[in-house]
Amino acid sequence: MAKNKKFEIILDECLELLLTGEGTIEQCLQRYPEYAAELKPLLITATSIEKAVDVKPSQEFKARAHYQMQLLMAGSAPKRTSFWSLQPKWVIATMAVMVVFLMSGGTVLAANSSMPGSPLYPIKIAAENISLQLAGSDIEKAEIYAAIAERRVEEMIYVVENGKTSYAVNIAQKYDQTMVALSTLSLSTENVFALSATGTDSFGATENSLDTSKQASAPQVGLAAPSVATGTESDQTGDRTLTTETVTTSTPVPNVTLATPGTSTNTSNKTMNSILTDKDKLKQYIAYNAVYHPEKLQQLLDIAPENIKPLIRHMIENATLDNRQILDKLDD
Amino acid sequence: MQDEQNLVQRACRGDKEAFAKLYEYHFDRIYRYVVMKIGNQTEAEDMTQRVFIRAYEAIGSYKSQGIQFSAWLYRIAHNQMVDFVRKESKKQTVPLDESMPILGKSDPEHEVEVKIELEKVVLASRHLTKAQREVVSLRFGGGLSITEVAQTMKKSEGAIKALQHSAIQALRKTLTAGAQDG
Repeated sequence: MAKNKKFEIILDECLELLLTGEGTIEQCLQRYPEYAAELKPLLITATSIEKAVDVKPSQEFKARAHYQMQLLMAGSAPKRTSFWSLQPKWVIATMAVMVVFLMSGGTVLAANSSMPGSPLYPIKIAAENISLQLAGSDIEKAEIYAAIAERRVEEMIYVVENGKTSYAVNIAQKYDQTMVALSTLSLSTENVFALSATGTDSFGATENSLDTSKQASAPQVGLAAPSVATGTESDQTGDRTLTTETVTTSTPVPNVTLATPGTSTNTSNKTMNSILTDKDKLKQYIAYNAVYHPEKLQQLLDIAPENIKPLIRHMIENATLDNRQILDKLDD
Repeated sequence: MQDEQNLVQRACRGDKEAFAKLYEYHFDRIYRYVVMKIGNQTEAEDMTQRVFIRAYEAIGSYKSQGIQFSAWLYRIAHNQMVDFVRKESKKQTVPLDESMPILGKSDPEHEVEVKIELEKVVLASRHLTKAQREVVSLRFGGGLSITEVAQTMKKSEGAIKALQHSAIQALRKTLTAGAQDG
């Protein structure tokens, strides 16, 4: 019985070498000469099976299947579609003007620095969505997402420090959605779900890709975000014990200002040089967030109630993985 | 697959790009596994696509399963095939498709040769027990490791190694007998 078990282990070891292409039958037999007579016929049979099942689906089928999958993914995102993404640009712009008209300058500022639980917080969320809709390029949109993500971290700190943890789940979800949207946006030149014009399989191709900027905007339901420089908000949150000043990082904090409704930046006449500068600025911002988010959230774990800690750990995990991946993509 | 865990985490959170990469990596393997199990190319194509549609719909629930992604994916494939086999059992036998398999290469001679070999293996595997056949399909068709096969079949690695051994022995016997007859 024991001998049989030993042989099964040896057989599997040899199969693993053959199936991964890391060894030959001869090498296996040389390694286990005492089992060579028993091993040889089984390894020959295994090799025959491996060769026989080395089939591939036809290119026609693959192209058709990938196209169907592409349609499915474009049509039914796992997350619900944003109200904002359904609106034409002119509707967004009109709403933005109305928001500005209805609110005095002081109200806009107050809303942008408001925290969960505040009556002005929904206005802040609306303003963030409008900022995203008015973004002129993917890079600009990515900068806004990065700023939104930073705001969610600040909000998490606020609710934990002020005992308003009933908002923690919502903040964590929004952070999650923002990071997914940001990473999808940054991957827009690497859409693997693209079919070439000829219909042949071209997964991984960088040409003829879907407009992932549109895909990225789809799941951004209720994404909240700011319309003033992110640096000002932490100054206005008053009694926090954890502030941005306590973060030790060699990455300079970029001064990203989110577009105030109705004052969208016109990027149409940007030169190539200015676009490259924007990309560098984005990289700098993401690099800052890659350090800032996990560090601030890690500190928060010391004072957070037990039931909130898993949420914070989840945010730390996402902050680390996502920001690192986005940086990798931007470096490509 | 490099960084699969990261891709799976992202896919669970609705990242389409991440799911697309997982799809791309596993597509051919799932197809091979299905072809080996049912021996019908047309059905294998439909089923392969259904597996990924199901996976896409259910990816959000994967996180809490506590098993490797490949094991989870092959369980979906297995469940799809259980339904298929249940339907086909009413027809007594599952026919080998005339056009099976379509290969990625354009050498007709080679295609015929591989087709014959595959037919032999698929037919021979019908003499195996269900568990033996599943192990062979997952190991050779899906290219899964022993650990992944064990997770997929909810058995110990030792049990899978034993099944693998007995399956190859049985296949050798059947294939050798077939060669002598032919």
